[in-house]
Amino acid sequence: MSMQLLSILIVSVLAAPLISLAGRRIRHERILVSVYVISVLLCVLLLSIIHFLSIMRGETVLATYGDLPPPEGSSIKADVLSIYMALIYLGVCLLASLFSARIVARSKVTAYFSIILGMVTAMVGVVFSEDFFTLFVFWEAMCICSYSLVSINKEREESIEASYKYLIMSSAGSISILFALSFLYGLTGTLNFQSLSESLSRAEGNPMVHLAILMLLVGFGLQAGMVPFHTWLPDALCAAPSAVSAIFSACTEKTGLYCLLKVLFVIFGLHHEDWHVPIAVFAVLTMFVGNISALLQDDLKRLFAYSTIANTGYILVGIAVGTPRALAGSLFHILNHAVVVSLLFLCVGAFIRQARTQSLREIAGIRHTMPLTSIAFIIGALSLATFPALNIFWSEIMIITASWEAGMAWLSFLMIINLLFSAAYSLRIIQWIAVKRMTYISRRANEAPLSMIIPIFVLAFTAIFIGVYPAPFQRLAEIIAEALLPFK
Amino acid sequence: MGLEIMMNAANLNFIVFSSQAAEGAVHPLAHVFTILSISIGGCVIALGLVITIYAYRHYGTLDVRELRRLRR
Repeated sequence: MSMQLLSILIVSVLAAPLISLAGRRIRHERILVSVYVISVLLCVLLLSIIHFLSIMRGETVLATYGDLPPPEGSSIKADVLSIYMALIYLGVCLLASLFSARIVARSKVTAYFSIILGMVTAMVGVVFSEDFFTLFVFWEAMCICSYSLVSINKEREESIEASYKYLIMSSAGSISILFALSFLYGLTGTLNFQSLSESLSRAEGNPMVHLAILMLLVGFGLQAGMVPFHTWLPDALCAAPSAVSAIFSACTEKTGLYCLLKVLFVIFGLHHEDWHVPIAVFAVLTMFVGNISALLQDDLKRLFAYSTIANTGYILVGIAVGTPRALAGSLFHILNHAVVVSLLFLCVGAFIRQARTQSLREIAGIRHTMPLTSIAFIIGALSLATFPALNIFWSEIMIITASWEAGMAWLSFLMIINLLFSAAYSLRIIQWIAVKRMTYISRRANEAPLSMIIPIFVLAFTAIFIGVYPAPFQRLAEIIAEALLPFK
Repeated sequence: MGLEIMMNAANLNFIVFSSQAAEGAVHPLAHVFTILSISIGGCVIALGLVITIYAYRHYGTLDVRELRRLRR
């Protein structure tokens, strides 16, 4: 069983350099490379589904490497939460690479796809790792891949600038994580998650623990787009190609949130009183800054980047409340938001390819010339506007009612205000796309090719399916939340 | 450069704590971790320099105050 778990990582690790080595030989043939990448991702996705089924039957999967047993040596482990996250990542990356198969320039195709494969591997590695040692290595690999993905259009100066900004901020965050790890190591003498939480339950009230929590919060929160550290995110998402923006806001950000969850609940779970108020403050700040900045944006990608920040805020609300139901709401929202935001970014990518602009004003009325993409886009925007019977509605209701039940009514009240904001900008987008008169640019556009329509419609269908039939997903999120919480 | 110094501080801290935690001997885990993080830091700095070179080609300067065309 452990070999199979490793095989998920091994297949994708080996697959990544292979295409860059073979790139010269096959003369950067676009179809060949993209078919190869998609089949590798499909293989890995199938492997993880098999794992998911066996984990749901109650097996735990643990693989150690090296000679030392787990508390000393390093190990990877798949539990329900990590396989859930891995499935989200693999699904989104599969659809995004299918989408970008026709778009990437031929000279860059091998570099682009090998970096994407490397990034998927690193993200799956982060969620499978069972100690901080492994986690940090995969984390840095993920960060390096994402810096280079942002700057992949190195002819455009904005992507260079965004990538520079991202690199500086994110490496500062990684160093803050490293510092916190050194504190934790000094306190306990181990980096394994289980042993850390056992040792830290004895270290009550040590100021070093608080410092470590704060530094981990800065480091992981930076990647998740938490508000004082969010400034890289709109620039990076705006400058990257659309499929990469989808992967960023649906996967890389969620990896930051996953690490926050792991740190706060598994390692510092018994220090809940210490951290839940600061997290709530961060959550409120994140929601308000994200939503208010999104209200008046004209650039579609920048708008969705800010809305991503706001949705990170909603997830943080669930984490701050910390009851099983609220946590289940957060986990469910991670899935829903990943589906919706990647749908929206892929649609924007289709608009950009066909109309050569990402300004909302210039693509007004584009539904007449690109009906299929616009329908999917409107479904996504409605879901973002908390329209009932679409997926985001259910998770947001879960978070709001749970924080109400837990006696944090102010938090749910503030969140409802924010939902009004997000409904306002989503409806504004729909109005521009569907109701306004056509501009010159949108009259010239025509429908996107099939390889772009398919991933968009798969995502739109998933959004509707979860919205109409949310019960099994909610149940899954509740199972994960119960497994994650140390106290019942 | 500043990033590199911060990285070194963190690594040094790691080693100091590692010799403190287990009495007498220095724990090997911390050393392995430090060596790995130094090499990762090298990778990041290399990538940073590449991006800096491209920034220089676009802007003709390395003054950070000039690199603010995305501000709006």
